[in-house]
Amino acid sequence: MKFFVTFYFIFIFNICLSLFTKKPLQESLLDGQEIYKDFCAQCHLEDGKGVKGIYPPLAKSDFLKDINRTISSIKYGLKGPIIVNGEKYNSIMVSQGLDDEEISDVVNYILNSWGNSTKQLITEEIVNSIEK
Amino acid sequence: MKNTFLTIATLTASILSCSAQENLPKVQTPDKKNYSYKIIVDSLDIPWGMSFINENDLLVTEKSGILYRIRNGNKKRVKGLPPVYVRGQGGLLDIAVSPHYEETKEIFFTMSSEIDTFNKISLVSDSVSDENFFNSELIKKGIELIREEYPFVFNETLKDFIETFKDELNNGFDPIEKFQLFLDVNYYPDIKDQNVLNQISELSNRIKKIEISNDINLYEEEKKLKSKLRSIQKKYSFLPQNGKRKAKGGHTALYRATLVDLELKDLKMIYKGDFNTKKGQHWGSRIVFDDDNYLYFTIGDRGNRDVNPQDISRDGGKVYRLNLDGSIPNDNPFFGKGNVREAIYSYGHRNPQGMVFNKKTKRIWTSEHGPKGGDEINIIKPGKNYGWPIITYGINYSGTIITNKTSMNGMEQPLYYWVPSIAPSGMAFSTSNVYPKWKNSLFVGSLKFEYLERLEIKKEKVIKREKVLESIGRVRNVKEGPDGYLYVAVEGNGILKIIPN
Repeated sequence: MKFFVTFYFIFIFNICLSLFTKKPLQESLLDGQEIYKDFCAQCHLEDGKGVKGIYPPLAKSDFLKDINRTISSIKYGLKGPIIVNGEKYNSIMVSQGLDDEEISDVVNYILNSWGNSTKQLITEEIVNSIEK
Repeated sequence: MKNTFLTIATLTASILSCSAQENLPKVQTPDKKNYSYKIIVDSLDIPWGMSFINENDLLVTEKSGILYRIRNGNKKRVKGLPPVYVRGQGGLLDIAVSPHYEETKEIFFTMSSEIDTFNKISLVSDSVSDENFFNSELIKKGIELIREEYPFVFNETLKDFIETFKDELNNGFDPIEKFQLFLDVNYYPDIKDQNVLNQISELSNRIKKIEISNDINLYEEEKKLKSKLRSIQKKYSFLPQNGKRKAKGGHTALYRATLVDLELKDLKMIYKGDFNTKKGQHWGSRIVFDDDNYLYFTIGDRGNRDVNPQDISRDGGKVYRLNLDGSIPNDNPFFGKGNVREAIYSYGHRNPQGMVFNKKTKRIWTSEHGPKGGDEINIIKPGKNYGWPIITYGINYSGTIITNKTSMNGMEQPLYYWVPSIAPSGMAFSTSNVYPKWKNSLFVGSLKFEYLERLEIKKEKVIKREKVLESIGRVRNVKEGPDGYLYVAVEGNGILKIIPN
């Protein structure tokens, strides 16, 4: 019984801790929007539609289904031919030098804007774990 | 009612037609091309700057932070660059071989840097040479240790530190710990809350007292206090956090170095923009020299248009002028004018990414990224205000209005503005006889439309615009080589040489 109570409290404590350390989605979306405007909107445009054949769309984009690849292309850059929503693109996106937290924010914003939605919350730790 | 409707309709139509209209002269595509091109350097992503040492010896910067030296077509990496802060539009930017290169082997380059000169945190590559500094071996050793731990420390900071802690250092205290304490107390740029500042100084004082008392019984308490101090430090400070520095943003810096084969030596930062910001936009930058060996370079508005470009006490949105040794010429327009950046030559710029010295008129010309419909060519005159963002021909890319003023007393007009915006990159004049029909034409790269534009200019008016090298990719830079040929840097491609047939 004593063991159980201790365990129970540790469990509750951990939940509290994770609630406090994890950045809530709402805050992440706001920060992500700012990053998006500064670093992404210039090419992908504020409405996320991009420019056909030159800058691939992010709004309702099938490329985003692979979240790891999405994070990786923002973290390390992306180069070479890709197909997005049936359209071919062959260009370079260089790494923008964002830190892991900023990347998690902007990915959350992209995955939850312009008709995109996801249940997964991207955290700094997830971004940190993505390798080239 | 009908009238109102008509008025609105006409107004809308006229606004729409205005915004869609191309600013004259319209850009032409020549039917006959009597030139071709050859790729002389390949495999480059974003070749921002290039500078010729001679016809067969070329320096090229890659925005991601790589410097190449290409000798007789052989591309090799040059080592010894300071840490480049690659963020947004920033990175390793322009490069320029000194007019005295033959004697001095000096080169200049601009890049984005997170070194914080305002808070006196900087990279030290040259050692502290002041003799009085090293009046003891212990201090000397201590400084070496600090340098290892904190490569981003400014000489001035070290001097202050030694002044404050010389007794402790001479008594054999751990220099790193003392240095941390020194930074804790002295440098908290972001903390506005007086309570937090008081807390820091109280903690620091208590730690210092315990250390001086050397009482073993207080050891645990000292540890506790230190960890408390670290946790505040972690929240606010720029210091290494678990070995990783968390950037506080950056600004454009100008460096000078000597080039020895494939290595940069005697690295010296000769100018650094303040105040660092995490914004990704508008770092500039180009470097050119005039006939009198003054150096000019540009910094963009750093994404803070409402504050930087019109304020000459701040950096950003400016063209600067320096002597080759990094000192400020005493005939600079704002020299000795009090609270100003004396290196400023002109202000009110948005983001000049093209600059050239016009050998005929002896003036500096720039090309600048404006807002939508507001890209400009400017002739730079000392002390003048080029108006951004008070006047502009452009509107925000989102479609909203910045200002409805396109001119104002005391502000300069551009020589030309592009509608639609071409996103102008580097610029060059053709002064040689290699392309007889192009002599004295101005060439500007278009990032957006992926062509090289040739402009004929008569009496400071653009009379003809023409596309040269169409659909080749985003044109990042153009230069006239020492052999008189034009060299064009294209993103995702390399350096192209234009060859007349």
